[in-house]
Amino acid sequence: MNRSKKKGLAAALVRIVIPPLLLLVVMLAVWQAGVVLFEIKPYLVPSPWAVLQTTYENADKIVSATSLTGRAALLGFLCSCTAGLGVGFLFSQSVWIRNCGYPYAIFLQTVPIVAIAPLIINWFGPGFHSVVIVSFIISLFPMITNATTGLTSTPPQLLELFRLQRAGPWQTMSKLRIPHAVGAMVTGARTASGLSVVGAIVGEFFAGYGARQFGLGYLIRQSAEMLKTDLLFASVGASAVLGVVIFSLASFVGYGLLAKWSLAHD
Amino acid sequence: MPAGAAQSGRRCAIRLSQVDVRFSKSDPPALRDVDFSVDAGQFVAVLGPSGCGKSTLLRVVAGLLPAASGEVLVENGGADQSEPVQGGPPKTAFVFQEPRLLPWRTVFDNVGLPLELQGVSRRDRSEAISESLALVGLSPNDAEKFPRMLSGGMKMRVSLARAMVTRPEVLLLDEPFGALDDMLRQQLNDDLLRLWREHRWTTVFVTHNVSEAVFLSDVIYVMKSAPGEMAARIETPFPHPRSADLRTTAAFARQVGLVSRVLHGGKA
Repeated sequence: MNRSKKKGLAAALVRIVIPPLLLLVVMLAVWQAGVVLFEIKPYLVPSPWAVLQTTYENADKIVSATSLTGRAALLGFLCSCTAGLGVGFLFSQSVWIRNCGYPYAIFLQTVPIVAIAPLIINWFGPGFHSVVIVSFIISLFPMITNATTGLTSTPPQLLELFRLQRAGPWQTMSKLRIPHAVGAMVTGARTASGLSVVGAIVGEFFAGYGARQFGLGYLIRQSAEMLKTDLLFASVGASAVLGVVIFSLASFVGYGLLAKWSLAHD
Repeated sequence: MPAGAAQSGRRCAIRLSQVDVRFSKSDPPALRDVDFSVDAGQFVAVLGPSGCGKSTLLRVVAGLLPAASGEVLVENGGADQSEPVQGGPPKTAFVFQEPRLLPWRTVFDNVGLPLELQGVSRRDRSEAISESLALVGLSPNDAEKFPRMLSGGMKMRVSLARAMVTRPEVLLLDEPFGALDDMLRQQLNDDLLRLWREHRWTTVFVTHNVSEAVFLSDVIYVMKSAPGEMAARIETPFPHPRSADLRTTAAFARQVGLVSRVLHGGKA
């Protein structure tokens, strides 16, 4: 039993991890070859080897920037989860409330964040909390829509079952609507997790942090302005890794919740 | 006195007179001038073509739909039959055509749902749930399973167990075995009849299957197709207890023939 489980795990690892790694190696090889063959200037496209070297040399800087951005993104994500669930809960209470509030929720999705980020910094001053607010705004919408959809799409047959048992509104919410909505909420949270990283980086573009403390957004802007393209590539790579980590974290927690609440959604 | 009646302490009769039901003012009525009566402890079947208003009738009895006009009464079935039921609304259990189980709950927690919603503590409902599961022939082993692990017939049994867990006074069944194959349907019919004999719930069973209606019921109400009028009331002449062999007798076949003729527009 144990052995077959291990075998299954190894097979899954080979299936999931090996193919993208292979593709990465091929792409890096093509990239390196291209830069060398066509003698491309390093400030246009640095070779992967140069990027790796820069990453190593600036490891302290990149790690501390990633960790700061990560903290801002995580906080923005948690805020958007909490607020999104709250607003979704409110929206699910009546069509009237939903109709009142929905246009403004859509505004969150359509507003060009680059336009309002400077405003937020004007209001709240440059620094960590402004970055968190931008990350929060960018990642809020999918949480609201998914929570609302989940909470309002309870099958009418099940609602009738609860009505027949004379269940109160709170019982219907806690024992039917919320468990039924967990799947949609997890989907919303996974989308929001990726966006929270984007939001944090955009926020840092404008908010920076100052010379002593800075995040990936600041590092990206600074290296672009100084034509340190290799550092720019390294920072972008770190952003991607951060996004994957936060997305995986949200997925992991989400699947845990799904297993507990909605194990048998068939 | 049967055990279930003794536990519930009261018997309920259902009386509907001149009941009209409309879903909207512009629509024709879903039920028109319906008179319908079930004595306490009686098993009544409602038979009719699809869309004739059988399920609507059941929902009116359950209080899920209001009557536009006419009278709906669930009365004390005791000595004074005109008395309304004392001590709150009657305990009504409803079994739907689909099992309607919550997929995130185990069989045990699905069956316990009505008690949970009434605020009965987990410890107190545990015994009632186990009893109810045993009644419908599910093992303690099945109790820990999730609905997706069960066959269609087992899901229906869970749904029946959930209806019985509150020890209802009125049991309403809306084509509960309609989606199952014939063999399973007959088996569940036998089980249902046995349970009814033991507990004597006032029962209304909606179906479009004539032989099922004849086998189970004391009285059959036949409905016309739209707009939902009652066509006939036919008494079933077979005494209880009934065994599965009843289905093979000539008298049974004659009764099925008679009810079928009425259903298709003939006279009783």
